[in-house]
Amino acid sequence: MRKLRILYATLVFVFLYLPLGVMVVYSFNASRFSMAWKGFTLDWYVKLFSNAALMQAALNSLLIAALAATCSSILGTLIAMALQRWRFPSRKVIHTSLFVMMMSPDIVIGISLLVLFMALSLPLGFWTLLMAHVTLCVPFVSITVYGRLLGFDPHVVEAARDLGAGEYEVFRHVVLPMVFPAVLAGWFLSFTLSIDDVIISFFTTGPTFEVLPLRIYSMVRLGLKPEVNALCAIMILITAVAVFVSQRFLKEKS
Amino acid sequence: MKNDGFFKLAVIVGVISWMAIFAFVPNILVFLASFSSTSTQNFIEPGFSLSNYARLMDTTHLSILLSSLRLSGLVTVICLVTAYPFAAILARTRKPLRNTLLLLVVIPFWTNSLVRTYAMTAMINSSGIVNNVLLSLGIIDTPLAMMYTPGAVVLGLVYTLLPFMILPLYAALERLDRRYLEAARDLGASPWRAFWKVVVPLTMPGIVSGCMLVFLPGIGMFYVSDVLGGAKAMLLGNFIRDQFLTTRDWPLGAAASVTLTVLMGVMLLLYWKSAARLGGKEA
Amino acid sequence: MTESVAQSQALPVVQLRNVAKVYDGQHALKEVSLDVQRGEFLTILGPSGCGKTTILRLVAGFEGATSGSISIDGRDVTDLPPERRNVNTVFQSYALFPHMNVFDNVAFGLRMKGRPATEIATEVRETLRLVQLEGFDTRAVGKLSGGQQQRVAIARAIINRPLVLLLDEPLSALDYRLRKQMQLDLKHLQRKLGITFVLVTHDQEEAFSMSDRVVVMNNGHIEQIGTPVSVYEEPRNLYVARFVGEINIIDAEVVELGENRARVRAQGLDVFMRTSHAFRPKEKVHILLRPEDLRVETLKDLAEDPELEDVFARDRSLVGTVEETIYKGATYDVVVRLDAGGIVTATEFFNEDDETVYFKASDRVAVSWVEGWEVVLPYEK
Repeated sequence: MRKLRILYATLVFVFLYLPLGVMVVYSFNASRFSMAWKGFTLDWYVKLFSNAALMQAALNSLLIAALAATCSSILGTLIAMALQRWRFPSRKVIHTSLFVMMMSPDIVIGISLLVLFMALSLPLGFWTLLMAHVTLCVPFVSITVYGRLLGFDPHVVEAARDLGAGEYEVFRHVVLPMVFPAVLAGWFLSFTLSIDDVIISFFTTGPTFEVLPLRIYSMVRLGLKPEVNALCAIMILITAVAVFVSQRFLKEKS
Repeated sequence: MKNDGFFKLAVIVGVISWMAIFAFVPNILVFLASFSSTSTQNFIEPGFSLSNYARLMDTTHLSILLSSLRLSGLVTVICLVTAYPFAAILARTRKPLRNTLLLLVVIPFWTNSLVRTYAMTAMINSSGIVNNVLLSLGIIDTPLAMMYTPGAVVLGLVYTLLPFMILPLYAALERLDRRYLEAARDLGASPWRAFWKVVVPLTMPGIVSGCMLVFLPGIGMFYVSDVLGGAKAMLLGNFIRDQFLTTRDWPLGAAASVTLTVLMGVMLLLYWKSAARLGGKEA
Repeated sequence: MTESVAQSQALPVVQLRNVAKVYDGQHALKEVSLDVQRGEFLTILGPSGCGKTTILRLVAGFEGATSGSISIDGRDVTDLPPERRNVNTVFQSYALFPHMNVFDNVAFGLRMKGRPATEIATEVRETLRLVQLEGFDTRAVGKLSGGQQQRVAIARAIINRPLVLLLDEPLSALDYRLRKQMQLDLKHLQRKLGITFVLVTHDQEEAFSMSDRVVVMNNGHIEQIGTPVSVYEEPRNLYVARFVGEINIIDAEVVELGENRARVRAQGLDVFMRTSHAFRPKEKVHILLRPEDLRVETLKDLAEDPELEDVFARDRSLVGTVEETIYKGATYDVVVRLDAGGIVTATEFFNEDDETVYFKASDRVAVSWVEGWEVVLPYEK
């Protein structure tokens, strides 16, 4: 029984990792067209880094991800605090909507924002993409921070008020420092969501501002290419390192 | 202290207006668009008619809708059946090893899904690993044509979405108090019955949220169909995208999107029901 | 001390006038009026859900009153937020800021007032010394014991020199021994600071041992206000009598009335009892007797020793059979089933030289008490 369990778990992991591993290996394959091994090379990586359009797209992606993560962390934290601290009309609706937005298929979010931007006649590009990514990320930050807020003794906020703190001071000196780890987690989550997104970017950016996933998408549609292998290998490596570091970071926190 | 009320008011007004502009208005616009008609000048001619929904129900469109639902349903079932025992094994593994294994699930979870879809092509295309292995083992003589088939799309979706099923199931199973299981056995339930009568109901919120996280993207992830399924639109996502960007029939695309939203609503209700039955909190 | 007595003649420091609080259609408080005197230690006593914490939260400003008014130091504060009221709270959960050390927790109030850093440092040291936490400045609050956290919570509140310190079940999370110690410490601290303390608790022993006055609450209203002695000895109704300590209740009927006395018939007895209530003849009443006020003797001893006659009022004794005895350590309880029906419990002390329980089950006994130690109350429901 125990052996069966180990075998099963191993099979699932092989399924998850084999394609990624193969791609990484082939990013070093000298052969351009065939899958047969023709010797080790770094050519594709060199080629990759000399592709100016691709590098620009990568920079754009990083820029959008950092900005979207920062904006949605601020906005999401304020929303979470408002939901937890204050009773106001539409509070329940907003709470439910955040959950629904988190579950919404990307394509629904993408086309609804496209319709909004068209209705406002905003040209698709940097700003529309940023707004779209913030919209994608805010619910995740809110729910993360809100969960953390619920874990606190509500009397802590009352104690601060009791000791003379106004609403802003409560936020600045008590709520924010207490939820900061959750805000940070929300920031990383948002960054990853933004970097990974294909569908929403597909609808909400224009030719003036290209991001990496869309660039990859247009390359991948044309079939296998060794430099795409190299690019994907780099992205896998970055993700693995980021996950590893964040796990370490979380462990030390708790 | 002086601007006390101002801070509170500013935050509340900000939150409500942001939600209104980016969450409610866009969806209302899509909803309205689904009842309007196309025109040559504008994408949308305001009006009220059910014709877009009627068009969605005609044979060609309906077959796309149904086949997409069937495909995604199949993907969900495969993921659930694969992930449940796996998550259970994970939840029973002892601590240091379990954290490592969990990390190994989280890495593909966070890896760009487009990258992962692409990785699958290297496995199954005519000169890919699978064909190479089968050929060299002499099991087949000519490469199997696996790319650009519904099967390839299913495989690609299962591959990209499996971690999204594993993690909620793992969370539910890990939280499951083993004493319930012991109590059930103590009261005379067989392991099989204890599983169906105790474990499954108690992990139902995890099952439903896992299914939701697989089923809904499984309908919308058009790039998986593009990369692995070829030119034929196999998912509702491709259909919606084409209406908006190629055919420019926004009202029809909007109607399809509303249909998808309604589907999500139904699944969310299911989720809340299953969570409420356990007396749990939402989310 | 004399100063605080003089001040207590003046305006009450907190006044509640017909304050009501409704949560979701449920009355948590029903038209409560209460004066808190300057410098006193007032305890609000009652079971959970009686509205005692609601009073505290209304005074602190965490909740708004549905109707009525609250004033502190003569100023109407009904609509003021908590940060603008000169009162501070010690929470049941302590509610220490988890991300700050001891010093920063205690300094919080003064920092909010914008006091200079050097002054804050001096005051924090001073206050920590007062609660016996010198040298704990840089400790993380999560690493402190329950008793230490409690002291930080008190220090964090009193450093602001509030007019009133509100304490919401502050000792309930501590174990028995520590709770006893903290009761004494709190009382001493209150004497030393001269600050008005309003404490909320469900523990009558805690209420009695610390307070100058006790407010007994039930179901959203005040049942009785008085000194611990008067509440215990002269409960105004059955609820108060039952809530503060053990009590025996015997049903009776008024036969005739005298001045501050009434002749009452109960259990075949026909005796005068002291009462300030104006009863009518034939009216049904309750006779309340504390177990420690009852005296038990066996019929055999009474027959053999006529000397007992002097202290044991034979004419007001109830005859019955011992059901069981319950050992309590310093005392023991004798449970007696009365011949005329009903059960009473008497608390007996051990004889100095005889540490054995004198009574046995099925002993025939008589139960009596000193005239005037009983309380006669109108019949309820």
